[in-house]
Amino acid sequence: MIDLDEFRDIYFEECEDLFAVLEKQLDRLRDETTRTEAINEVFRAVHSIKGGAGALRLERIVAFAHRFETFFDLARAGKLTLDDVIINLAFVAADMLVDLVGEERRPGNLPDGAENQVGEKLDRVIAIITEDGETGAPPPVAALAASATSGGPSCYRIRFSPGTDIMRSGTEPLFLFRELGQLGDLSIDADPSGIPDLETIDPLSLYIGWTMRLDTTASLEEIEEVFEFVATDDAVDIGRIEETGATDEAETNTQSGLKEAVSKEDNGNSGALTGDAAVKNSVRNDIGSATIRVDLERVDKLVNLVGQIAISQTLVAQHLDEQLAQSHPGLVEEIEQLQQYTQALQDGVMAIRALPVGLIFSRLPKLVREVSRLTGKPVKLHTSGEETEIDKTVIEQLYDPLMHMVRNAIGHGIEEAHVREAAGKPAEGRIELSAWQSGGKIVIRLSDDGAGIDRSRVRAKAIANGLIAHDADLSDGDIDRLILTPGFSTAEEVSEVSGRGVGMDVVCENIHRLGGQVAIQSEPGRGTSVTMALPLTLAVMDGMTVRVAAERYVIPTTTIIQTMPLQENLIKEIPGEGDVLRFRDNYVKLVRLENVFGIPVRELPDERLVVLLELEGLVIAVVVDEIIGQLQVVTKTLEQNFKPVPGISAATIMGDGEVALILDPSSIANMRPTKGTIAPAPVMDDIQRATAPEAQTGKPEEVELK
Amino acid sequence: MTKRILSVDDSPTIRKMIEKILTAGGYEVVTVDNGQVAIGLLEAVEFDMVITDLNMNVMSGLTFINKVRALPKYAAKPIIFVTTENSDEVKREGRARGATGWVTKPFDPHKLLRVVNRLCPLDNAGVRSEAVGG
Repeated sequence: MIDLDEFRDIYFEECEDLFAVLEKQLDRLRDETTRTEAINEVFRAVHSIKGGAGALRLERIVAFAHRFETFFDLARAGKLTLDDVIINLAFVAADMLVDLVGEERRPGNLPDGAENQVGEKLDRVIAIITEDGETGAPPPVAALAASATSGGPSCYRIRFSPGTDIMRSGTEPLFLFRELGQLGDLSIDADPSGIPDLETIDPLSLYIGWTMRLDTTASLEEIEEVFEFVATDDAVDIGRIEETGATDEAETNTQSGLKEAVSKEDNGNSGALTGDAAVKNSVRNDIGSATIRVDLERVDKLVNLVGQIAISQTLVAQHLDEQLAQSHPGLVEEIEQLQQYTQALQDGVMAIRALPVGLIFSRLPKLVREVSRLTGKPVKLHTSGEETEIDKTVIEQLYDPLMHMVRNAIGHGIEEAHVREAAGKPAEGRIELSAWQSGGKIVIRLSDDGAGIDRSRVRAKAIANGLIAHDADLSDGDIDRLILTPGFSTAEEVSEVSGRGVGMDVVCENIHRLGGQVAIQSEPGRGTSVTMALPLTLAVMDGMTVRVAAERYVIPTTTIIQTMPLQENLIKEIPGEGDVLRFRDNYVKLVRLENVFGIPVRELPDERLVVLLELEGLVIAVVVDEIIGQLQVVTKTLEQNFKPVPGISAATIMGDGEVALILDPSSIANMRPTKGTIAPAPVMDDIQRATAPEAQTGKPEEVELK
Repeated sequence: MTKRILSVDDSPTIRKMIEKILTAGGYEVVTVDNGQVAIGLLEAVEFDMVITDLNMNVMSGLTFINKVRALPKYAAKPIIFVTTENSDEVKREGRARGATGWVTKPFDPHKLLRVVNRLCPLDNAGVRSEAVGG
């Protein structure tokens, strides 16, 4: 007997895709123009879930899916009127199906018979309709737009008899017809009388001549241009025809097979276009189709390999000195070309790991409904930009933060319905979740139209938690940002809504770990929006290489606001806090890397530089000896092999094969000088070992989308 | 699927221009600076179209066109030449050697793209074209 267990994971994965379809299509039921299609899609999705469950003998899922399927079969037959009550029931049933599959995957959360209540409701609806034999409103039929009649102001007759050898000169007559077809309404009559017996036919010879009729607004020159390369052969004769009803009839009736071939060709084209659109739609509506599943391990091997190629390429470029360049003038160009291809290859490989954010967006409506139910606040989630793509690892780690943000938005942002109405707002709260790409970043924004941040409460809490002094002078923006400050949220906040008691500070930390940034904006009475900017990929980033004593570090370029010479007279010491630097009428924290990382320093250069970094509005100044340059680096995570290293987010292999560490600006800001307690050399050795190619061949972490 | 075009020209500027225009038009473009190298490349790799200069050092454009047309793989592939002379004589000579068409220098980018689109359109028309040829 076949072991069914190995198919379970595949089934659950398929279910995830189908749930995304369900979520999307159920929503489209509300819109009459998309309803018919949506009913079919929902039916298909439920049917597939049932089918898979049947093969795996997951009886509980089969039983429930069957009821759901029967229910939708009635809708498909036009017997079930899809009013709000019915659509809501469908949503509840879909949620139940999600829970049932979840229970099968990780048992222990859903008590026996939990599905009965919803199931009975479905049964009741089914019973009423089938027993009464009653037909509801007929299903909406998509109206077909009548095609507009088109007629150009001019009509041409074109005779084209190019002779047998035209194809030997590389001319493909069909392409000329297509170009003509783009100028107007084209009908073609072919004369096949010259076609010889099959035995004597030469595939590269042409035996056909054509007479065409073209209704067009194009000029005679434009038509002649199409035949530019064949006109010299006296093969083309273009004449204008005056409109008379009789010829009109005759012309349109003599449609040869070739005309059909051409018009089929056109259909083929538009088919291809809708095909493209369908791919886009399928990304949005049906994440499962038009994709292939590839083992993540294979992709990551490629990512590593491409990273190594980029390094080798850089090494080759470095060996190209002036002498060599002069003796081999083509070499510089070729290497530049190689670099471009390498870059394109790198981008291409990274794109394989990219997934549409719709994957996680589609899981949020269910959460919103649940939280809305728990809090009694009516809320509707609007999403946009689902097709925006982002690295798989980022996507996986984005769901939890988003979930907490949604919970926060409903729990703390959206007001009770009566409060909203009193304030002149619609009773139903609105949460907008959108994603888009902006430069090298993916931006995801969650905004609500709630009450905005209660700044006096935030302030009081920050004082109570010891984050700020009770007389601290803070702007509104400063207070809003306190929510993101580590240590702001406390355990006492655990409630049913905030669930695991996770606050925005923890969300913010998670986003930082992904190399992203969080910004918060709030307006009292109008709402709050939280914006996350995430890197397109985790594995490649732009960085600035700097040197401190003998060590090199890479600073993420996105955080850098300015570099300037270090001027001693701008430094001020604050007891217990260390040094600060005067910058744009403010004092910012001054970080000496040699102190925080305990780098042995024999002698500091007379003139040093500061790099000013900004994170969520917080500016810090990092002192370095030298700025080596800008570059793109392939990052290697350290956390698979090391405990998190404070101040360091990852490592990279430089063009010369040496390892450099990538600074983590957000944690550097909170670091204290080590006074040389860390021995840097062994750390570097370990990292070098860990990032060496052979250390990468271990099993990559298998990550699962939740 | 995109189409791959080989551009042969000893002027780096023209090569760059052709490459830029056609790449923007959605084609994959490979450029080389002489006909000898081009023949080797054409034999090794399948190209959908060839664009060549007439006035070249190592091998003249007309000879090159002749040689390409003689390759079985390229018996019916579009080949166009780029010429500064807008004379019927040059065009006739080019056609006689097997060229499909021409573009006159200095060329208008739209014109070049239009010609390439006509002779080597960017979609899957190939299947049907065989039906017509036969």
